[in-house]
Amino acid sequence: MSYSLNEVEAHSKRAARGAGLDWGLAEEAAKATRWICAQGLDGCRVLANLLDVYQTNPQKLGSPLSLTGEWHGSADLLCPVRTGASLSDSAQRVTADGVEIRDLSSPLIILPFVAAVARRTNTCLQVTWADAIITTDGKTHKQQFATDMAAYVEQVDCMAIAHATALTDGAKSTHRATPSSQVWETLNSLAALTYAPATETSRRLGAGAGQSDND
Amino acid sequence: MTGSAPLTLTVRDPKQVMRLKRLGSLHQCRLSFMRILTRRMADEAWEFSCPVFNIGADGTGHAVYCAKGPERTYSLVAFAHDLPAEMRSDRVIAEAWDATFTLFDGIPDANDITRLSQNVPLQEAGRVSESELSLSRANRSVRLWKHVVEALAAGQQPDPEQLASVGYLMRTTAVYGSGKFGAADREVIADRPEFAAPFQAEMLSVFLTRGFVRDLVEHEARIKGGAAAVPLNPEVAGQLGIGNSTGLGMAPFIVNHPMLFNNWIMAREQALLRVRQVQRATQAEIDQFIEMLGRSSRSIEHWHSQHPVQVAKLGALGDDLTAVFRYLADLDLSKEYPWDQLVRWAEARLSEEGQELLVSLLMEPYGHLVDDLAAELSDDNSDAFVIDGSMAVGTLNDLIQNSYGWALELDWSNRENCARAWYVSAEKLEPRIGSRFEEPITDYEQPLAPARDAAAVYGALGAWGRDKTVADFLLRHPEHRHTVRRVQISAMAPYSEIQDNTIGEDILPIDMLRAKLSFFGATHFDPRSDRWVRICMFQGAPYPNELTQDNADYWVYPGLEASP
Repeated sequence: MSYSLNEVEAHSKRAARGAGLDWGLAEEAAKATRWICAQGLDGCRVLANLLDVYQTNPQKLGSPLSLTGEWHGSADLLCPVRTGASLSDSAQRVTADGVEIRDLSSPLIILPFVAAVARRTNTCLQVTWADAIITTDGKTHKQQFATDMAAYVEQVDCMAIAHATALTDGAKSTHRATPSSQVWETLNSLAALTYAPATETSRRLGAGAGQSDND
Repeated sequence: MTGSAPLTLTVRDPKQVMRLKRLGSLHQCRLSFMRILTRRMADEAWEFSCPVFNIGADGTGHAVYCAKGPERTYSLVAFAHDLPAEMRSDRVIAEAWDATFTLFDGIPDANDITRLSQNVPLQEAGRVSESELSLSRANRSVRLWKHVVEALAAGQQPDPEQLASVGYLMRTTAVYGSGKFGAADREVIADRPEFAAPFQAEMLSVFLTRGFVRDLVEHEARIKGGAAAVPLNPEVAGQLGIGNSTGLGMAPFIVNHPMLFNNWIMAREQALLRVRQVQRATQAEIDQFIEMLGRSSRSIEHWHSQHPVQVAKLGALGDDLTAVFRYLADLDLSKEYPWDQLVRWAEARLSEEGQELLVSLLMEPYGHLVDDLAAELSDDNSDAFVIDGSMAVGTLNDLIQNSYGWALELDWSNRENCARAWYVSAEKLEPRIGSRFEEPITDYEQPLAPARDAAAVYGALGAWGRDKTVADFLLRHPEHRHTVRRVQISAMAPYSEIQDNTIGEDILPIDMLRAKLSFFGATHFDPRSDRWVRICMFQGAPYPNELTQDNADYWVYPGLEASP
């Protein structure tokens, strides 16, 4: 089934929040997922994989310890949403010096944050990890993957972000996403964790109804 | 001008404008989305047709209404149903309706109609596609529908009193757009001139729906009355709008879209400023203002509500109008800066209802000064979302003091200041507001209390040196990220934030609903509780086939000569 990107974003935000991300990071995860989908890649799949780790082993994912030097964390892996948010927050530093990141989960999620940096600083940036080289000017991207699976690897030892020459062409953007039903259902079940179970009080008071709606 | 210094005026202070009581007193104006739509369609001479009206003697079937603009055609596909009485509800959570609709991007073929007939009647339980721009449904006002069908079938026009007491034959609940349930994202249509202003596709859908409703009621009268049946007189039909019931689902919108909401309020405030800066009003402008004031007061006579809050506000508005007429009798509007003087007087003398009504009316003679602000209403700056991490913590601190100063003075540990919590219910998947200390909802709270959250950020910032960066702060405090984003948005968008407590004991969500609905162009707000409101849309407007440049704009104000 095809979904609108607004549906993807709204669904992703709820799912990320359901998986335990703070609201601001859930917003970032949702925008990132939307951007990846708009580039014709399966953003929902990558997000679902990441949120699965949050569900099963949240201690495994962390934030960068510092935003200077090589970025690494004290947990097993860096969370790409937290790391991406910090990249976006450090736009000038990223553009000026580039960044190297160690032990990162779901690397594709970094791309929209790098794109935001590229837009903000009006530059072109290249993201490299094993089997993948992706260049973005913020609006579009150009990808070179060694294998079909390279975009969707669950973790990488090392990622480098550096200046690139201007893009001459890029991926055609799309307004629809076609996640697998399994991936959508995964996000759905996480989103459901944000819904308050109904109680008698909420049934009685929640919507403020209680009189006939007809006239 | 000699002998007079130029008047220095600025837009109104957000601290004045963005209070809930005032936002809950806003009225439609020239910049309302319905009026932007009808003006454009008239200027561009849009053509309207009904190529399909396949409704049977039992009142069920489908119809297609086309609106042809300069470059593109849009089609309302309407399905009429047989709704059993026990399923009749205008709650958004209903599962069946009298009629269901979609706005199709183009002209649907037979395959499209087949696909839509399998999905549109199901509303949320169905799926639409990128070819569809909206999804909506409506129920009859059972009482008025029956009366109108019986009257027309008998060759009579309906009773004006009964028409006026309801104001519409059908009432929509949700009108979904912007990618909901598989429809096209706003981004797909945002670069089309006709959809540049907000909610134009949704408003077009309602405008065409009103035509369908008239056709449908006349169709039923013909079935019932045969040769004796008569159509609605155009003047009578004109007094019928489309009703709408809006509940809590819409309230969070103005919090969740701070940039967009800022742009709406900013455009209105800019419009007011431009009018206040008029040094000398021409006699024609004065006459037009006086005329619209008179016509507006007639409309207000037919604005009914039984909700105590609105009853009190309408009482005050009636007093306000009396005071305005009295003041104008003595005021020489041909003097310098007449409108500024009127606004200053109103601020000292009138209720918020009266003040905001005057603001709207003052724009009426000045389309040439204010209508271009319609281009400023949308939010095309998606990167406003992106946080500036290089900002110094000290600057962030100052921004919070400036934009949320009032919130820093509230004691947020006091239960009455955080008595409510917004959440989404598992049962209905709709936003709700509940009692934090009486219901188990806090774990599910939605981020709809920006003031409380800003105060929390302010508290956390105390331990940080002013020269540290926001990037470093957020690395350690990701829980404040959504709020820091809002604070930075408020720096560039002064009207982005409601300057009131959205989780206080005495919050009236209907104020949030009215703020939004007034920009749609709704009238006759009738709160049915503190959480949902009925309104009327397009009441008095020309029907599609009647639309001309002469009637495209001021239809919202009833003619002075019109009977009740």
